Amino acid sequence: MRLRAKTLLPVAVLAASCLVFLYAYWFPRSLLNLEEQELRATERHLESVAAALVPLLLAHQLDAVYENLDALLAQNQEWVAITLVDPDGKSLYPLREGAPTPARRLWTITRPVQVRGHDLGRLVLDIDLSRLTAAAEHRHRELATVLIIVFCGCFFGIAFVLERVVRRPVGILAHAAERVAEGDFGAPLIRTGDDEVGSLVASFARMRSSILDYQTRQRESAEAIKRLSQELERRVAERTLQLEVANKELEAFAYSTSHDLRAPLRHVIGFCELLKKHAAEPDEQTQHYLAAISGAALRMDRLIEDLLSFSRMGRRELTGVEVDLARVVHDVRHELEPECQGRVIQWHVDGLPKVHADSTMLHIALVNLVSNALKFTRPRASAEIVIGAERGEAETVVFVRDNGVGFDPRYVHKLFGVFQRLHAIEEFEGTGIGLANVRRIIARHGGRTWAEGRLGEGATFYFSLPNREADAIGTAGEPLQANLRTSASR
Amino acid sequence: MVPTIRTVTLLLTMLGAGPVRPAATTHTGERERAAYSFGVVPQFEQRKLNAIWNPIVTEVSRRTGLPLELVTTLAIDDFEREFVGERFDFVYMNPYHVLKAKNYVPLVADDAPLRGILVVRRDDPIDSLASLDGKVVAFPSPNAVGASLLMRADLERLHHAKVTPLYVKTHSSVYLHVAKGLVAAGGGVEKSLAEQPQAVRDALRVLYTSRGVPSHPIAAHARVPAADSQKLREALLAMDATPEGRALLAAIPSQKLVRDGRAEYEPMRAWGLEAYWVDFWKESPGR
Repeated sequence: MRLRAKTLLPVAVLAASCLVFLYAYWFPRSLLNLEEQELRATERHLESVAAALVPLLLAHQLDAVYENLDALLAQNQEWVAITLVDPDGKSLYPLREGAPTPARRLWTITRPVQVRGHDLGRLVLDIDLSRLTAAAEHRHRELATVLIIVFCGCFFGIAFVLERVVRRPVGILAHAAERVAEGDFGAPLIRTGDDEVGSLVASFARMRSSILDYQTRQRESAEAIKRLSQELERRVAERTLQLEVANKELEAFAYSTSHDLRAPLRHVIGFCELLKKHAAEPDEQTQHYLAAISGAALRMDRLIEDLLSFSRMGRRELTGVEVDLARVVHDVRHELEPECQGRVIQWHVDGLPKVHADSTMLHIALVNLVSNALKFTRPRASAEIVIGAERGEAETVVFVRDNGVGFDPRYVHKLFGVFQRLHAIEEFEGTGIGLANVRRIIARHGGRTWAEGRLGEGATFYFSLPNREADAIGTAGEPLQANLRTSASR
Repeated sequence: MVPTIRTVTLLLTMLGAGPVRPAATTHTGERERAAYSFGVVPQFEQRKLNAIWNPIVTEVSRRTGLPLELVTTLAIDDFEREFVGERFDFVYMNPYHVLKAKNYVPLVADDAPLRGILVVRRDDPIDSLASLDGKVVAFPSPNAVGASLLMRADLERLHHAKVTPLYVKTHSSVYLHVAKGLVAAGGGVEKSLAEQPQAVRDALRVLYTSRGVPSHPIAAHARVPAADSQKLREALLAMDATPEGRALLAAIPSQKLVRDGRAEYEPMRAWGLEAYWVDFWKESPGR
């Protein structure tokens, strides 16, 4: 129901109720009361007349009786007829019996004319109240008309005021609110004064202005953020490009340097071998020196070889395919079978899913992890190596757990660094490049690497690979190189 | 339709027994203490009586410059009580009263003689006075000359009809009693019958007309200065000479006013009416 109907309906109902009450109850009852009062008053009047007639009848002053009753009839228009009869019923008044009264509603009042119990006659009055009631009904109609006019005035007055003061401003306000919801803050408003509606309109105008200011500031802020973001992206891209160039130059330098270092190193090794063969009976000291030179050169050669391998890990182009992880692990175990000779090793390999990755690089990463597990469980009479995986919504986490010598967790951040070692080379061989290769391979797949462990309590190495659904690293056969940069940037 | 003040006043007036004294009237319309009282014999009901005489007294007062106070009574009994007590300075009275009140001097009277009549209902088959013997006959009062004294004398002496009189105060009341069949006949005078409403006259039939007697005079008490009495006489005669005055005087009723004198009434002494005169105020002073 609309506001106008809600407000005016009670007024209309009140008006109708008043009119119904007036016409159904008050007017009829008022007429009834009027008739009753008039009849009672007439009865009292007639009693007075009867009392006044006593001396006239006793004195036989019939002319005075006539004069008075004629005067009463003339003065009281509701009195239709008066009849005065003597105790024998003989007519005393009027002179001649009138014609029968036309059919209309008449009341008859009879009063005896008595003096001290002596009956002098009987006074009979026919009274017609139709004129009186007609006048009352006329007044009732006037009252009803006035009430109707007043109610109509109230109705239309309220409607007018409501339209001007409430409905129209509120309607315009609602329209303006809808326009605001559509982003238009310029819809006109009407000021209605200092009433509640005016206050509402003013509040709305302030609110709209505040929203507009807020949106303006927000837009300006967004534009500033966008400009800053674009600037930042530009700088990042520029810096990334610089880093990539520098990295490539560094890698190229390292590769070139490593490659170039190998030739003189091989000469050193070769000439050491020649010295061992051609030197005539070198003493023990000389032999020791030669062995040290040769050993250092060979270790340096392995370091250079690993460095070149690491460099290749970063430059090799990745090709993403669906890889059966269980199959890769099986191949890795087969490849490392020679290292397991003579050892008691319990393998637990279960629940390995298929992942989306470069199969060769994944194979290299797992070789490094499993090889480490075999190496660092060597002191254990019975080695236990667990290889498993957990598939999450966004990524699949693969782990390799062993019960080996573990590591000091304080240095976990060094584990995946190039040439970083947490154990003496005399205890466990290696150049410290394996886990660096693992991190580089996994990073290029857009994954993560981390480790958990304690000294003497074994270690667990984890890496994650993005699921293809969550992070499309490329369809089958699609190069994965681009993802490396994306992951690195994160 | 509650009782109006006028109606209540009317009823209270009807209940009153004493003379009614309207405001004394002068030509300026002011009330003065030294007003002359002007009594009128109640031939008609009070209202009619005042309606007839108030304009006349006012006009006479205007013409003479004398302050006059109209005094009326409800019934002739009251009037005669006042009259005998000589309380009126001027008085319109019964012709026979001239013979009974020696201190009143007639000034003017109607030129036409007063004739008594006996009326019966128009549909009453009675055709002789003798047949009224033993019946009830209405009269205004015992001492009304034409309507009562002379009529009762004629009934008894000339027609040997002994009737039971019913005194009903006024001529109009007589006629109404007859018209309503409450009495067999009623005594009145021609002039008062002529003043009745047509409906009353249509209901009546004159059965008998008596001989003529001098009409009602307007008399002055001997205590009134002769100059004032003369002024009043001249004023009345002057009024009678104008259409407006004549119209007022015709309602008395009067056909033509003429100078009057006691001598006009002396012949009535020989008619033997004294036997029918009733000093009822002496008989029932309380009335």
